[in-house]
Amino acid sequence: MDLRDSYKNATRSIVGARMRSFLTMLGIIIGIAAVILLMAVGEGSKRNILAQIQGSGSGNLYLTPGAQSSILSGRNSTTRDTGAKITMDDLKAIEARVTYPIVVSPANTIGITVKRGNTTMVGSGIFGTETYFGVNNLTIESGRPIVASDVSNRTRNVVIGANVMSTLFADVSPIGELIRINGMSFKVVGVTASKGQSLFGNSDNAVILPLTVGEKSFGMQHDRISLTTIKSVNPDDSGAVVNQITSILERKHGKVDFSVLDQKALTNLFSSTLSIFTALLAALGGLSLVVGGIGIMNIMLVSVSERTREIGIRKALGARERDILAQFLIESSLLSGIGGIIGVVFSVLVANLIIQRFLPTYVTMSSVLLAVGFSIAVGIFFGVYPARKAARLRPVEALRYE
Amino acid sequence: MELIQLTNLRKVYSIGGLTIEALAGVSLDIGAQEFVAIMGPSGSGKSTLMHILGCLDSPTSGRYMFKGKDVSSLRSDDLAAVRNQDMGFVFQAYNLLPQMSALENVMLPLSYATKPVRDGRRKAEGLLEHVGLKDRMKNRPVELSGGEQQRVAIARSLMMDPSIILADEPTGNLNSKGAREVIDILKALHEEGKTIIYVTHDDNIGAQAERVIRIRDGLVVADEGD
Repeated sequence: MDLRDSYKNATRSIVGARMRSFLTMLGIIIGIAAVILLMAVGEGSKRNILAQIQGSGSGNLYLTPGAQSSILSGRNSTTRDTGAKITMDDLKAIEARVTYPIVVSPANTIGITVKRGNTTMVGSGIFGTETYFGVNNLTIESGRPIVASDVSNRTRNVVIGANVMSTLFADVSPIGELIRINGMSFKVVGVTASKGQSLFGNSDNAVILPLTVGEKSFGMQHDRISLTTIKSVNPDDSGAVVNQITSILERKHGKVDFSVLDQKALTNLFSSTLSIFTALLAALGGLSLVVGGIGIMNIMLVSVSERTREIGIRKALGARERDILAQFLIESSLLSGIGGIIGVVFSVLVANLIIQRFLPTYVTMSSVLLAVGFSIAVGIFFGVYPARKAARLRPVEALRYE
Repeated sequence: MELIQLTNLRKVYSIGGLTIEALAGVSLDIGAQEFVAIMGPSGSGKSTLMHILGCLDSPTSGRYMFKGKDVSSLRSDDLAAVRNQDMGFVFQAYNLLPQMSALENVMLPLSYATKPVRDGRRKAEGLLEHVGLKDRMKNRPVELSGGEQQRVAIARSLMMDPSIILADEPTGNLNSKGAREVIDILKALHEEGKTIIYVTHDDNIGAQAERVIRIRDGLVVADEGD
């Protein structure tokens, strides 16, 4: 049978049962949308995080206690009870012995409540030193940063993020004003410029306090640094710096109970984890496509038994088994193919117009091709059984069918 | 050489452990350009014989020579090719495809043609004109009367220039006017040189043929020519 005739026939029978065809396609449309949207969200967050790693400053190394990097498990992690810790003494040893120019920036982070007058907001408190700003590419919008004397004198001076300022100081300049953090009084000495979301949180919602204040006023454990950022002044040296830090701390601790990641290692760590995440999401979407395929099989079986007589007539007029097989396969793959295309258009629109507002999404060409290819494969796979059933009907029996 | 030679043809069905012998050893010859009626009461095996003659079914045993070729043991695809090229079917229930127009129904055998047909559309139009349906070509079967539908079916049966027209109770669903029209067309086709075999249980319709083969209990009980 001529291929154009076949498509015409298939289209005619799909259009002839509009409601049924649409409902059948709906299963595929939802399946395709699930695959593409879930993959778009997975890919979007992957790209977002990788971009943050790239933007976190080249040449930055991240030193955390514990042999497994705690970066993935959360930036607030104080060391678990493994006894593994990074101390100021460790950092001094690193500063003294690494032979490349580096800047060391220790930091601990906790959740805090910031209050001024009747206005309260929740943010993060970052306990750092004068090096924190340079290493993290933070610029001061007004006032001054935390300086070395703030750290050594344990002053109650803080620098606030852009959102903290706009929330608490809608009317007046914050410099020199007092705020309450977890019930204690602090003086604002500076405001950082807005930087947005970054790998280790959003500095716009943060208050930066002198490192030494944490231990004194916030009950943090003595001399434990959860995240130390070490900037290799010359980014090309970062590989060598990692090696030196590793050997310095290994000798000092007697074992590797810490981890040092450079940007490349961090990228690899995140992208492999996130790829698994994306693949899982795709598999979830794939499941709903399979369900859609079963819907197609169901409706094709109904269609075959409804059209038994038609099959008999076609056979009487000379249709061979493969003609009938092709007729039903074309119909089922057309159903799933059209469903697939509608699903792609729908999910691209939804991803870019709606979900994009809440979550980073990125629709990849490969996810679209995967979804459409899979949907057509589903149509053929689940169409084969009904089509064979139709093709093997004996003409006499098919003609006798009422 | 005869067009059709049947030798000791048997067809046995078993339905739920019960064996039914629909044809119990039929031997007969039908020549080209004959006009034959197969008659018999219901259950006599005449429809089974018709189906085997039309290559819609295969005999259990015996031999069916069609145009000098043994078709009793052909594979289903080869039988399909024989049906397409050599058999024109006219059924009691017309068996037109409801979603297609009269013209598309007549052209349907072209979809399965094993050799190309030139000007198929014009030929189909000519056939419809020939059976008096020039103005009804675009109509779908539901928009046609029974007689008109059967005439579309006759036009369809002629599409591939078959060796035989096989008609299974072609007037069974028609009123007397429609029946007469259909029989007149079959007669006219016979006069143009077509071989026509039809099954009927109606004596008046059967009497129109030049040769009447009577079947009872799966056997030929009478075979009378004019």
